[in-house]
Amino acid sequence: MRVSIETQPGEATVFSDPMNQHAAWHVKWGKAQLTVVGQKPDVGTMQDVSGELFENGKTQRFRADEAIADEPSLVLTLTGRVSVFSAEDGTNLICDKVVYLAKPQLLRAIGNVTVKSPRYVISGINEEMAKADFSAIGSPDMFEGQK
Amino acid sequence: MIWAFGALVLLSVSALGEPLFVRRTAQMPEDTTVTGWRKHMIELKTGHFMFAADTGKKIHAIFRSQGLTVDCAKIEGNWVGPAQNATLETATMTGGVRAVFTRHSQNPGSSAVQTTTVTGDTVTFTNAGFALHVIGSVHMDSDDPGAQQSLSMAGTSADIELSKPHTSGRAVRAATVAGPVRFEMRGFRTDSSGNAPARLPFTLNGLADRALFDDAARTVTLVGNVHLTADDPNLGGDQNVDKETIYLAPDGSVDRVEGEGNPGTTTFIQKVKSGGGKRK
Repeated sequence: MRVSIETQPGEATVFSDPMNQHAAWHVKWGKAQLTVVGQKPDVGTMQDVSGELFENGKTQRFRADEAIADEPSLVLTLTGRVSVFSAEDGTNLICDKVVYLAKPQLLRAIGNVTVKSPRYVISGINEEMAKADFSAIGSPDMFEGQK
Repeated sequence: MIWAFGALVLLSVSALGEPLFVRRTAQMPEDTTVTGWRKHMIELKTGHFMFAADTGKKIHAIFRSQGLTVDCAKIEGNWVGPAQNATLETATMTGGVRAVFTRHSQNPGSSAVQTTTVTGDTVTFTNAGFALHVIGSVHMDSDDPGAQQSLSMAGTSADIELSKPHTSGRAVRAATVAGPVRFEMRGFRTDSSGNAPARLPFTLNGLADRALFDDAARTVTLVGNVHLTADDPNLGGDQNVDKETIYLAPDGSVDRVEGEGNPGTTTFIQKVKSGGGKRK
C-alpha cells in the first residue's frame, strides 16, 4: 500500500559515511510530502527548504522551493528559485535547479544560472557544473571524470 | 586577486555555443563576447579559463578593452587586472588562429581605425609588452588607412610586439618574421622633385630569409636572399642583395633604402630630381 502524508516543518542531516561523522547536507523544510510504501516511510518532496551543504569543512547555505533527497546516492536535488551561497567568499549561485552530488562535491546547475560574487557576476548559463566550493565552473562534460 | 574585476563586473555565459559576455559594469556595453564554444572551464579563483569549439569549428572572441578579436579552435589563458580594468593577461590560441587588433590611426587628424591582423597555426599572447608569438603559416597585415600606410609580412614563425590599446602611434612596434618571408609595404612619400611637393604612392615587395621591423628605429630589415621590388624608381627599382634596410621617415614614408652584398652596397635616396636613385 502506498500512502502520501503531508508533514509539519522538520529538518534532517544526511551523512556521507556510515559512521555519521561527515555531514553531507543539513536540510530544513516548511512542509514535506511523506510517501509510505508498506511499513517504510520515505521523505519525498520537501517544500520551502533551506539548509547547508558541507564540503571539506566549508559550508554553503542554500534555499529552494522544493528539494528531493536521494540518501543512498547522496544526491540532493533542489528546484525552484534555488540559491546556494558561500559565506567564505560571498559567492552566490542562483538558478532553477541544482543537483548536488555530495560524493564528488559537485553542483550541477540547470536553468537561468547566475553566479555572483563581490568581484564578478556570471549569468545566463543554461547548464553548468561547478565545484561545490565555487573554485571552478564549466561545461558539464569538463567534469566527466569527477562525477 | 586574479579575477579582480571589481564589484560591478558582469560575466554572462549563455548556453552551448551562445555568447559569453563580460561587462565591466552593468551600464557599459559588453567588454568581452565569446561565441561558438562547445566546452569551457573557468577557474573563478585563479582566472584561468578555456574555451574550445567543436572539431572543425571556431570560437569567436572579442576582448574590447584590448582591441582584440580572435577566431580560433581553442583559447586558453588567464584573465587578470585591477578593478574595472580587467585584461586578458595571457592566452594560447590554437587551430587556424586569426587575431585582429584595432587601434586609432597613428594620424591624430584621422578618425580611421588602424587594423593589425595576425594569422597562424598557434598564437601565444602576452599582455606584458602586448607580444605575440606566432607559429605556422604566419601572416601579419597592418593597415592604417588614416595614415595611408600598410605593412604585410608572411613567414613560418614570428614574434610581434604591438602598441598598447588606446595609444597613438603605429600598431606594430616590432616584428621578427622567419621565412622564407614575403614582405609588402604600401604608403605615400613626398616627392619634392617637381615645382611643388607631391605625395606619391609607393609599393615595396620583398622576399627574404628573415624580416625585422623596428618602429622605434624606423627600419625594416630584410636579411638573406633578399629580392626587393619597388614600383617607384626613386626607391630603387628591383634589387637582389644579401641585406636590405628600409629607413622610414617619421611620417612613415620611406626615407631611403640601403642594400648590402650582392651585387654590392647600394643606397637609393628618395628625394632626387630624377628616377634611378644614387648608387654609392
